[in-house]
Amino acid sequence: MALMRDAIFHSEGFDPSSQMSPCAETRNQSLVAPRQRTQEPTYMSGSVIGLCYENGVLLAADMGATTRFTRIPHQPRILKINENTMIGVSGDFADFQYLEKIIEAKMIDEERKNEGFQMKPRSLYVYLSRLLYQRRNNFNPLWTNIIVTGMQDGKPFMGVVDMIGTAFETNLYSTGFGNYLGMGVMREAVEKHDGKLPLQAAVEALQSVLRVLYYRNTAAFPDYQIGNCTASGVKIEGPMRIDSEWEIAKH
Amino acid sequence: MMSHEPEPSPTTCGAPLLQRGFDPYRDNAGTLVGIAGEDFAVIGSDLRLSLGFSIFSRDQSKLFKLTDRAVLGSSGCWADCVSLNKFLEIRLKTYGFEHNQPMSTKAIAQCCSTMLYSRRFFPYFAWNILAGIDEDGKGAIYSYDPVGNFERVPYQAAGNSGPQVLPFLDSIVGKKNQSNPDKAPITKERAINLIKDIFISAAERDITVGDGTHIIVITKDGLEEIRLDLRKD
Repeated sequence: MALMRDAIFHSEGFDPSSQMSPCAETRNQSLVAPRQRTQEPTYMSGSVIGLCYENGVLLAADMGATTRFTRIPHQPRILKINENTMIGVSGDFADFQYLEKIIEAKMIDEERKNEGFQMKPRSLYVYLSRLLYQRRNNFNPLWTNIIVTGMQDGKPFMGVVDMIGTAFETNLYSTGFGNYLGMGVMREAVEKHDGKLPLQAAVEALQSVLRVLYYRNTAAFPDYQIGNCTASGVKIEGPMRIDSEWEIAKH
Repeated sequence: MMSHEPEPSPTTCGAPLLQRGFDPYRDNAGTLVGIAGEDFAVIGSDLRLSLGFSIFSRDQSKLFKLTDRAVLGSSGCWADCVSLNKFLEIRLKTYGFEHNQPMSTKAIAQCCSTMLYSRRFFPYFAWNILAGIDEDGKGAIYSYDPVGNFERVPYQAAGNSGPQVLPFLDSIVGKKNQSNPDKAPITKERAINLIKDIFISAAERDITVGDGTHIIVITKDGLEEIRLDLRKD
């Protein structure tokens, strides 16, 4: 008993969030050491930006993921789920790929039942909010922020779910840095058109947000995708490249 | 010499101490005010959902309509608030199927407390106020803490601005510390206007209050909703 207590309290000094391999002493006591789970993300992706316009929803995200030292470019982060749903995911890239897998499995399962209807965006949003909340309750979070968009009974829909299960519906949102740098630009565009934002103005607003994020965030990529969901289906365009002006940086 | 051996932690009862870097809670703020009258109850919330200095949503009511004579307001960690209310909704539906009648406000009040206490050692970080009409047709406000302690009160303020607003309610509704107060019960119109004024004032002093308020008036005839714009900065 005393030995076990020793082991427990020796492991107190060990920081489970550390990526370094545990010291030899702790490794020998692995039977009583805290269980290791994701306490911090590795490959991270940047902002996902969503905007509801007059007759649809737009999602935009740059393409790629980074650690502090390495980059994986050209990684799409906007997913078409079905003809009326798409999602954008930011945060840990491995967790995103895991989510991609389980959502695909769910879609195949729904298709297999062949009941003649598809999952609507609000259903997926609620499903993901429950999933992420449960993972948070088990102290094993999926380190992701998700924007679920689509057409819900003919109307544009946007739902946001974060890594602890915070869930809300809104008409414009950006995860990550874009939350500070981009939401004002988007809200201004919406208010300027009195809530009836045309597609062209919405795309321009998103592009200007992406440009600011590319200028201001070292981890951002110049390539991006824009997904558009309307009554006639989901279309994801890209990769496109942000036109940026760096001459001014030389002066 | 004896080696130093620390005492087992009383909170883990000798079990391995789990250390984790992940914080499962967020404070998404939100403010709630409830006032009970003779035959009505009024409850209001702000519409701003925030985290620190960033605003998540400018149109997120924190009021959940449970039955046509009870409304629950939840603020705090929004993930917990949403979950609590989803589970509560399930309990209310099941009760409805089993008993062929909606749950009474008094029963909902106890149910909320039990559900909050069921998570005593990993609490829902949610500050709740339940407003409704009781079996005798009287207005009722129930006030909760996050682990399920509850009490029936004539008025209550909770959430981020709760501590700022409550003394005001003590003075105006509770008539506390006054030499010759008019003890007539508060009217419905007065209660509604008071809640509107409270949110306008709270928006001046608290950065988490703003954008708008959602007020629900509960009478024997059902629920009446009022929305009012607040400053958006």
